[in-house]
Amino acid sequence: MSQFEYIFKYIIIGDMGVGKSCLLQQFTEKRFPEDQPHTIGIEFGTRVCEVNGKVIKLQIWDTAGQERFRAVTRSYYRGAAGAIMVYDITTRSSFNHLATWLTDARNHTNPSTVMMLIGNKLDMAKQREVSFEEADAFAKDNGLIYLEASAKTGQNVEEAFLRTARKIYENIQSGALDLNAAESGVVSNRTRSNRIKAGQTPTNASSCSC
Amino acid sequence: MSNGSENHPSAGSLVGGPTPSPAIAKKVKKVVELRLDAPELSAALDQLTEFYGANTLENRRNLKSCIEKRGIDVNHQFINCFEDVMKKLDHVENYVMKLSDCSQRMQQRLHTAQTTTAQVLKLTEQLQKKEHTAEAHKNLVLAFLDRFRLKPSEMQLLQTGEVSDPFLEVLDRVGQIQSESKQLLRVHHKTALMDIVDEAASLQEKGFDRLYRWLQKELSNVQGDSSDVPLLVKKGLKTLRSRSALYKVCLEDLAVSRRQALHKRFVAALSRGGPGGTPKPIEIHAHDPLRYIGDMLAWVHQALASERELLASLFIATRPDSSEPSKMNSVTARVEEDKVLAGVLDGVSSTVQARVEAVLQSQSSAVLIFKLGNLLLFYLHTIGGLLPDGASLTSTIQGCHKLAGKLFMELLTASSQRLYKQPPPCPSTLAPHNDILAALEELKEVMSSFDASLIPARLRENYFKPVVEEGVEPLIGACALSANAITPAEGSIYLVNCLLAIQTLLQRYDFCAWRIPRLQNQIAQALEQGIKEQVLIIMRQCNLDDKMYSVRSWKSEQRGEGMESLSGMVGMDPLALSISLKQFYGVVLTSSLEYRYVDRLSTSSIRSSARSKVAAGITQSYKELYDAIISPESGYREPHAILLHGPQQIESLLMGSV
Repeated sequence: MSQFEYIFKYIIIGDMGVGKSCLLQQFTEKRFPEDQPHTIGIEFGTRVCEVNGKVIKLQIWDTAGQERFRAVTRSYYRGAAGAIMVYDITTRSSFNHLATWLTDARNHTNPSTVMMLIGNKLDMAKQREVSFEEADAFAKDNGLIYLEASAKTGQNVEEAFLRTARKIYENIQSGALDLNAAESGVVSNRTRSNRIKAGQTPTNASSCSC
Repeated sequence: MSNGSENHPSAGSLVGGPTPSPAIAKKVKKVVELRLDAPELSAALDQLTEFYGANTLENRRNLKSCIEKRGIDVNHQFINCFEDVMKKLDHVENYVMKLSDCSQRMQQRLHTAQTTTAQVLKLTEQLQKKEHTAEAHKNLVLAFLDRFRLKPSEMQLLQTGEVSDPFLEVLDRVGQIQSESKQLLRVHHKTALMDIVDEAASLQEKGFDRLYRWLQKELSNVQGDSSDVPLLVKKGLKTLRSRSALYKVCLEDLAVSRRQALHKRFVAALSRGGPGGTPKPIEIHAHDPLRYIGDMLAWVHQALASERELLASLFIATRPDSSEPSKMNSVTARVEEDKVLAGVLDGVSSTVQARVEAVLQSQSSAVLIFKLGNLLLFYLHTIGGLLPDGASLTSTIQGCHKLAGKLFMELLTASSQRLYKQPPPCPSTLAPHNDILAALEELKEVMSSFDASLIPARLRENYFKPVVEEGVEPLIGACALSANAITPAEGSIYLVNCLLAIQTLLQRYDFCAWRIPRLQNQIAQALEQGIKEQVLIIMRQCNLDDKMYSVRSWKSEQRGEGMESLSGMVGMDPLALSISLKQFYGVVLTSSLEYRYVDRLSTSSIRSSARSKVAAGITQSYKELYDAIISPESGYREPHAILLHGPQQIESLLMGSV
């Protein structure tokens, strides 16, 4: 049984049907559900992975894209260390709605929350309605990490989640993310005394490996 | 040469006897056969020469004795010689005798020695065997002790050492010793095993006691916001599992420490938020009850997920080994896990309850309360699904949901009863009064919120029925009362308009569809009434209403006995009739018929169909009048002078202008 050092909290947002739950399942269980029902409210998945030599547990909250759950899902932004925004490269409208999602996310998350943009359904690139360049420009304008991925083939899925985790980890090391914050979306697994030390001198935290 | 020799003393007879006797013959033969060159003969002759000097008679005579004498001498000499030998031989014999004596003695001693040695050997052998057995026993005993007793170092560790991995291993071993001893005890070695069992039990007791104290300390130190329990604590718990009383206490301690920590974090999230204000405290949204309660329950849901993960990792680690017969065990482990989880989440129950109830009770908006109820229902499913049955948090949320439902129904009933008791006056437009529209708007919000809820489709109708009954029925009642307060013509149209508005609302949602048929019936009735009133009013405007009345009463009397002619009835004289009819024709021909009431129906399709129905109604009445006047029994001499237009004409004129 692996002992992890941190827990990072993620939230996945985006329009209905862009494949949020499938991305999550591809990442946590390495499988693609052919017949994924609409998410009711909110679902939850975890995976332990290694980032920069540290064992980290990702706790991922997958929200329902349906409008009727918006009021509920909004409450889950609170204290997320990573927000993963998903659109469907074959559905123009899902890309057009990103600005709303981004505003929503910015309004409800911490300033240090790492934002990632995923253009899903790369396996259906033939029916593409949103070009890579356009989305890339959008991501650059808004300071988002950007990748196109496919929940079906698994392409780039791992990379997307891990890249976010690496960025969060860098934020911890640079001190941008305050580990003492009870709701920073990152939970350290050390004892309190160690953690205060780590918080004060983040560089120590990296050298002191457990 | 002489053949006489000592060997042949009879040789003389051979010479003497003329006739060869057999003896002589034998002698002769012997002489003849004597071999002269034989060494014995030569040796004998040589010897003879020594003492036989001259060949004299005497000598010849004495030869024999001489030889014999000599023989005796020789024998004497021989005997003499041999006397020494004899003596020596006697000596030798003596020696030999002694030797044999000696050897016999030795043999005897040897024999004795042999016997003794054999015994010794036998003894040795026996001893050796014993030694082997003893050795084997020793090994057995050592192995036994190794297996059934702790080494001094282990004992030391168990009694005074730090709780550590080796400590737990030793403790596990003590348990193993105990169980193995008990198994053996059934078969043999009662005393020794009893001692061992006793010793192991007391050691185990001490060990468990120390482990328990240590765990208590560690578990109370498990930080609230830490996400995992140290591996050693997990292992310790697993070991302690076999001492179920202590184990349970530890689990309770764990639940208590996690519960307190959770409560602390919850209160902090509610009132302080993160450091530097991010994220903001949940209470900052207290003015927005949906957001406030939503954030609160979302926080609880997320905390619950984390606690569950933590406990799951703890319980997977402490789950009994798969080697143990464990179907039952894993079930009990699951129950234990659920129990602890429920216990931990207990920490937020009262806070949630107090705050949610306060919010609910301070609300005056039924819609908002309904929405809050829906939100609570969502979390009742979401959170309740993660907790075991009967968890206090689940019942808390359930209680809050029930309270919301109760308060909602109270507010709904109160507001609709208020409308029912003081029906709002009907506006001149005959459109539903604003109060009615506001009530409907509220219901609409309630329904749309309900539509978004997690209630499965098949349950929705029944679930929502009370809302329709408490919300819609009094509303219909209120509209009917308002309608009764004014003229039937206006009232029925007003009622239709109100019912149509209600129908529009109910039609939006499947779970209200059951009420539609009855509503349509009610609408149809009111509409019919309205149309009838409209027809009547138009007829009255042309002063035809009393004429119609007279026609109808004349027609019913005509079947009886009276037999008064229609033209003879009051107001039915040809002049009066033609004045009224002229007025009627004027209105119809100029298409200036006023559908003043039905025109105030709110739905255009209903409006136009109502107009045609009014037209049809007027046509029908005219036809009735026409038929009566033109009939011979009516008593009019020139009915065609009065009736300028036939019913078909009127109908097409009316229909054309609808």
